[in-house]
Amino acid sequence: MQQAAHPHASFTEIVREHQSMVLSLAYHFLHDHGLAEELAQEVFLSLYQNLASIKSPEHLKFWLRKVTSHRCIDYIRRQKFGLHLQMSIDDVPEIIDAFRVPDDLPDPMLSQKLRRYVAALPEKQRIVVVLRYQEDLDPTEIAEVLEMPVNTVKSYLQRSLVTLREKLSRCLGEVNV
Amino acid sequence: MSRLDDELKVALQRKEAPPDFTARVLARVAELPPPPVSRWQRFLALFRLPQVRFAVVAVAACLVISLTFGVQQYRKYQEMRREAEIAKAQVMLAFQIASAKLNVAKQKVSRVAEKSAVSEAMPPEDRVEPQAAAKSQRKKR
Repeated sequence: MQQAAHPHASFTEIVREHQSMVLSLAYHFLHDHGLAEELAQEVFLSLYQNLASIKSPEHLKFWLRKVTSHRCIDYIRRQKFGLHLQMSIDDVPEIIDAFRVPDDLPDPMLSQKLRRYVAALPEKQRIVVVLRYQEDLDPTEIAEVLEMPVNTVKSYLQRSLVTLREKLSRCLGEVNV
Repeated sequence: MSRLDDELKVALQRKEAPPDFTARVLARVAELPPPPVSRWQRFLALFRLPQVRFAVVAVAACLVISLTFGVQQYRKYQEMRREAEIAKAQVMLAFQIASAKLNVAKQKVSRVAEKSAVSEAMPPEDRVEPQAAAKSQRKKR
């Protein structure tokens, strides 16, 4: 990717344009503002060091999604192996959103619950769900980002939806969620 | 699309980053050591120095001049060589002609010598003087 006369100028533009995507991916995966911001910063630092290898704006978006997803999964794995942690729904804290949440949310409580349920999914299912619903990617695009077969992505997506539907039904007492 | 899909889209929609996020990233970037430069980039960077540029231009000019001079000299050498080949061929032809003439002369001399030997062996009244014989031969011709 071509850099402007002042390399920091174009990099600042890139950060401004994509910070919301990277930070939201990390936050929806980690469900922790501090960790999400730390990870997002790491992703942008890595981008700064690899800026010469970025070929186009599309490649940049793909690269950011890929690196953020992989770093999120790596972080959870390191936590698991280092501290022998098994995440359950009770481990996921109830968070009053520190980010600015859009006002058009139909049910903030339901959304918050859903985010908690998503954060309690196994890491691969979680990142597939986040990429599918946050970034609106189809299974083929998710498979490219995560470097896994499309059928695996579809299966993760189905299993996640079944789990989420069950949990939500139990919570809300509804069957037709 | 089910209700769950819609709810997930709403729940997982992008959130705005804190206003100072970019500044924090840039502050961390400023702390980074400069990105590693490859050998090729370091080599190319040399050509940005005016002295190196001048040296490169000078070397290139010298190369062009030497090449032109060399080509010219080679052509001259080829021309001289061709002329020498022609001269050699001419000398060889001259030698061949001279050799042929000498052969003819030699044959004539040996024929005259044979004849004089025969006349010496004859009685004196039958002898023909060599000078008289030569005269008669010239007349015949």
